[in-house]
Amino acid sequence: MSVDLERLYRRALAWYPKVWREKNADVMVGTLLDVAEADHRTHPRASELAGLAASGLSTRLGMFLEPSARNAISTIALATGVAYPLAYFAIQLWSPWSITRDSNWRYAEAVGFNAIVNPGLIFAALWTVALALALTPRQRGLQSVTAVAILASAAFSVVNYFPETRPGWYGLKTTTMVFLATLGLLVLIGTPIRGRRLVLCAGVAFVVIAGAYAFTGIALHSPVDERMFWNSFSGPLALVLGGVTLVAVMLGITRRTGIAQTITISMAPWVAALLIRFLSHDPWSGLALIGIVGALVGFGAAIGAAFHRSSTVRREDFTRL
Amino acid sequence: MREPTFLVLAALAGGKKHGYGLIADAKQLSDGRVVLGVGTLYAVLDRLGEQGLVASAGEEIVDGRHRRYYELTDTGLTALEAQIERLESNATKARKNLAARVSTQPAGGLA
Repeated sequence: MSVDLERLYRRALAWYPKVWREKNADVMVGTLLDVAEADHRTHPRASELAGLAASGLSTRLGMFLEPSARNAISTIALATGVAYPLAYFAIQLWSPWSITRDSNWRYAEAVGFNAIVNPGLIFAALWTVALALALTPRQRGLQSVTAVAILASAAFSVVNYFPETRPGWYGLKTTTMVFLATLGLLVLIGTPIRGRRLVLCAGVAFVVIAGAYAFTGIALHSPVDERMFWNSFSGPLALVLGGVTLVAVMLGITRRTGIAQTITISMAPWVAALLIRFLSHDPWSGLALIGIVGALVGFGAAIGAAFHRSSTVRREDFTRL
Repeated sequence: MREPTFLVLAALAGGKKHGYGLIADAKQLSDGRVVLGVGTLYAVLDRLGEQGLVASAGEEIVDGRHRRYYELTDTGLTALEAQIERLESNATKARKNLAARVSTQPAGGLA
């Protein structure tokens, strides 16, 4: 077996944390070389390198996040990620029960269900497929579909910055794209729960978001609009996030690390959306939010470091056995 | 318990094994259906180690390659037995339902 192959495998292990590599790299490289020899290969497979990158990043996250917290965060993100585009589709795009349909125009009537003019349809479809895959026994394909949803969010965010490329464009807004992309990233950090509980989580998230969406239209007696949704709820949402942060801090202090981590990190998509909203409309509030986010990140890092210390002790105990 | 986890525990039920031995055994146990990636295998071993189901059982160097052996702990053995019982119970019930369905089907099937 060539020295080059060993060098390539060692380079691929750079995805893993240094502490982990110091204990396991030699053993893992030995196994990788055994597998390559059995397959009569002299080069790593692309899928093998991708797998090592995914496992390495996952191990890095695992050093700062409890596995249960990662799975809970992933579940919440998936439920919210499915709920928002579906609420957008049902209440804004389709709006079959719109109370303003006689006095004003509806998206569906104005542009039809056109995925080019309004990519909301694409996101509703992608996230629904992701939910369906998460409900299968092996969740095969979930990560790939989520990655496509993240890339699509990034692509449409770029398009939003060039109005001349999109005459007659009806959405989605950059705020929503950042929101969905952040949710997608959180889905990837763990394994969502399966079965009825996942469907229940997605259902609850849909009812809450669709209800909030519809409320803006009822309260203002106008067609529901995505911009209006974020405008109406930015202030109350900031207050709610502040309250939830206090709860997370209390849980962290009382050493309920997993729940504190779950709550803190699950707020990230909402904080990211507010950040985009405030920075584009109210820079001072945006800067204040950046300060709060900085404090949150510091708090999260402190919890993570505490968990890292305790998990390092556990790992050392294991490798000593 | 996910399938890779079950297969690793099942492979270790036959005695202590190193990384490649576990991959080969998991493939054999699943009739070639599951081929564990090396990254997946060590992630599973890490998790099982933290849960106290698997323990390290020594290391050696063979042809210049490091090998670490793993073995089931008592807790791991109990967890594996419980999972096997669950799977057997589910399979028995499923087989019973299937048999009941077959016996209630009209002869000749659908027109």
